[in-house]
Amino acid sequence: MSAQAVQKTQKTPVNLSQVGATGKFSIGSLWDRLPGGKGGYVAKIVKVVAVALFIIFLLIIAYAVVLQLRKKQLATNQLPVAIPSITLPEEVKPTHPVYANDSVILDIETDIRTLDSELISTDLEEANLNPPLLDLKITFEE
Amino acid sequence: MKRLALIFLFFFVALVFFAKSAKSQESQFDFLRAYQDYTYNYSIYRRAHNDYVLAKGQYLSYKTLKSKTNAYDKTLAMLQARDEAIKTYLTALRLKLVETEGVPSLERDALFGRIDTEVAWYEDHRGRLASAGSLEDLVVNSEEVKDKYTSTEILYYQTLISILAGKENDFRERLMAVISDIKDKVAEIRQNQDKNTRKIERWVLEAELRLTRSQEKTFDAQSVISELKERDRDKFKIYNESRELITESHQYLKEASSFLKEIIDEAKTSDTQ
Repeated sequence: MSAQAVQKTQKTPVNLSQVGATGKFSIGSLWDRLPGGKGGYVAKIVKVVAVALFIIFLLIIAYAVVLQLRKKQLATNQLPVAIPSITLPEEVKPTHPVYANDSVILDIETDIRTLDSELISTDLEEANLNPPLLDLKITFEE
Repeated sequence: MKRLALIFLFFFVALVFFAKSAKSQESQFDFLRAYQDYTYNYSIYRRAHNDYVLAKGQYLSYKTLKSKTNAYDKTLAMLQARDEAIKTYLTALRLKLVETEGVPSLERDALFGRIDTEVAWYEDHRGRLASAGSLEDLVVNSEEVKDKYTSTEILYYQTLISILAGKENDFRERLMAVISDIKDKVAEIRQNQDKNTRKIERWVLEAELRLTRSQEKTFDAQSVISELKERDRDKFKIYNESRELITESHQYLKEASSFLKEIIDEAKTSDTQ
C-alpha cells in the first residue's frame, strides 16, 4: 500500500462508537444509526412496537396460566358418581296437644269469649243519658 | 172468740200481702223505670215549653190582662215541668249509678249525696213556684234555677263519667281475674314441663300492659271531668273530651282481651305444632 492511500484512509477514520468499542456489533450502535438519532421518529416507532410486543407476550403467558388453572378446576369439580343409599324418614315428634281439652283452659276460654263479646257490644256513648236540653232564659222583654 | 181470731188472721194476711206488694213495687223501681219516668216528664216539659213560647208571643203582642194571665199559667206549668224533668233525670242517673258495677263505693256515695241534695232543691223549688204571685215572680224563680243549673250540669257530667269509668273498672277487674287464672295454669304447665311457657308468659305481660294503659286513660278521663268548673262555658265539650279518653281506655281493654284469646289458643297447642 502506498503512502497516499494510507493517508486517504486516515482522513476518513472509522467511528469506533458506531460499530462497538471492541469492534463487535451492538444495539446501541444501531440505535444511534437510526434516522434522526435516538430521539427520531423511527426510534419512537421502534419503542412502541417493542412495548406492544411485550404486552402481547404477557397476555399470552396470562392466557396460558388461566387455561392451566381451568383444567385443574374442572378436574376437581367432577361430579361424584351417584351411589344409591337408604335414607330413613325423619323422626316425627308427637304433637299431642296436652291442654286442648283441659277443663281449666276451656273455662278460661269461655270467660274470655264472654268478656270479649261484652267489650264489643258495650255502649260507651250512653247517648240516651245525655242531659236534657232546657230553656233557662225566661224573660218577657221585647 | 173464734170469730175474733179469724178477723185477726184476715188482717194479718192482708198486712203481709200489702207489705210484699209495696216491697216488690219498690224493688221494681230500677233504672229502666226511672228512665221511662224521665222521658215522660221531659216530653211534658217540651209540650209545656211550646205552650209557653206561644203564650209569651201573644202577651208581648197584645199586652192584655188575659194574655198576661195565660202567659203566667203557661210559664208556671213550663217551670214546674222543667224542675220535674231535671229531678227525674237526676233520679235516672242515680239508678244507673246503682246498677253500674265497678264504681268505687266512696265515689258512689259521694255522688249519691250530691244527687239527693240537688233533687231536694228542685223539689223544694217546684213547690215554691205555685206561690209566685206574678209573671215577674216566675221570672225571678226561673233565674234561681238558671244560677243553680251550672252546678247541676257539673253533677250530670261527673256522674256520667263515673258510670263509664265504672264500666271500664269492672271489665278491667274481670280481665285481671282471667289473667290470674291463666298465670296459675301456666305455672302448672311449667311445673309439669309439658310445654315451653316462655312465649305465653311474655304475651301475658303484654296483656297486663294493656290493662295498665287502660287504667291510666280512665284516670285521665276522671281527672279532666273533675276539673270542670261552673264558669266553664262549654261543659259538654269537656265532657266529650273525657268520654274520648274513656273510649281510648276501652280500646286497650279490647286489645288485652284479644291477646288473652291468643294466649289460650297458644296454650291449647303443643310446642311442635
